[in-house]
Amino acid sequence: MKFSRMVLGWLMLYSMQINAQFPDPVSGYDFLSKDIQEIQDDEFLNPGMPTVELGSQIFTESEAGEKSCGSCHGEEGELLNKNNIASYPAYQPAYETVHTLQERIHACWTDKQDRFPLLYDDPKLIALETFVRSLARGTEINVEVNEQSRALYQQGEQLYKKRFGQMAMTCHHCHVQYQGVFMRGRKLTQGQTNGFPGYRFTSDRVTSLHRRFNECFVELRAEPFATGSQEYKALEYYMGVMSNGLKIETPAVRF
Amino acid sequence: MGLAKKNRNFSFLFLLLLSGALSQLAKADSYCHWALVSENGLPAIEKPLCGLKGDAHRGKKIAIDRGMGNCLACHAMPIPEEDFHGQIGPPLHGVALRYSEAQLRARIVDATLVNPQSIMPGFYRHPDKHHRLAFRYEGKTFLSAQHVEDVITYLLTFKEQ
Repeated sequence: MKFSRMVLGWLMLYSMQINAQFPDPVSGYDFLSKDIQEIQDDEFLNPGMPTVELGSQIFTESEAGEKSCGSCHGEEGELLNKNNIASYPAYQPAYETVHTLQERIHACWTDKQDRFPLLYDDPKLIALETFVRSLARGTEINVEVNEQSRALYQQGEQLYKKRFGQMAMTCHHCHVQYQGVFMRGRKLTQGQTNGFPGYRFTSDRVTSLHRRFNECFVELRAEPFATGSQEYKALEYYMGVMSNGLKIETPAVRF
Repeated sequence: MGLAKKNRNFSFLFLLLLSGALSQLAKADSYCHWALVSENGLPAIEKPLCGLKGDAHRGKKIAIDRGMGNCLACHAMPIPEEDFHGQIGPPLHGVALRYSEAQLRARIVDATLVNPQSIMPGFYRHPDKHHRLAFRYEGKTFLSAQHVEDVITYLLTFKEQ
């Protein structure tokens, strides 16, 4: 009797492990009220659009004698492949590492345009990333993991399920286990990445994903990692796979 | 004159260092250790933390305050006058009927003693047990021992289902 119950328990655990990989992805958009959704959908009301505009300007700017992004990718980025944009963070065989979209843009900035390097999350880079990702609005995210990038993905998963700070909560607790549940006045979302970089009312600016991580860490009363750090890249990669199938909404409007 | 002034500056610096060292000592000493026992198969901490006595009125304030206990963030409580009761944890109505004082203390000190997967923060977990604790919270517990005792005393008044 005891043995059969144990076997049943193991079977249940095993099937849970298979099913519990990822929940069906739901965009943060679906957690918003109708009037906020309208603000995001309206090109003229969306407070993230000025950043897109700024990004499109930087896209066509060039230093004397050098190429601009637009020289290769079209003045309005029309030569960029939308599915490719939606596949970041992606493994880059040329660099033998995974690049986030921002790093990919920066690689072009330094290597192809020979411009002075910028720090991760430089306002210029955030503007460029916002512009480029907004070109793929409506395209489904398709982040892939291969042999070479599996280690980073696994690091991301570990970080996602690690307790941080005085709150000692994991990302997994709020955004998987208790998604859709009210925490005081807020409904917990899945914390999907499809809207980033996105405009947030709480900080009144277009926020990159890594800065959003920082804000989460502060809420957990934990010491944040650095923007552009290996840890945040791993998290972005893992969460990118979680978001697979969702449509890109950059610049999304969120709280 | 010049020398005297210099000396005064040094003494000021010395006092500053001393007060810093003293506050560090106070921090290290201020954590009261507790003993975990089993009561009817459930984890329990019998003795009040630091031997302190709780105050239910203060406990209510702490339970509601978003910057302190913020119990309301995750639990519904029998205080309908407050808005936005959380839904994450079980409702606290009649919690005093289900658990003894010692069992409640264990749950509030560190909920992972009861359920290792729990999302609930350990309100009196040892500061060294946190991972990547933010600098400003170093050496501090979530709530002070007094505040934990206040909340327990408040919870013990929840005797209606």
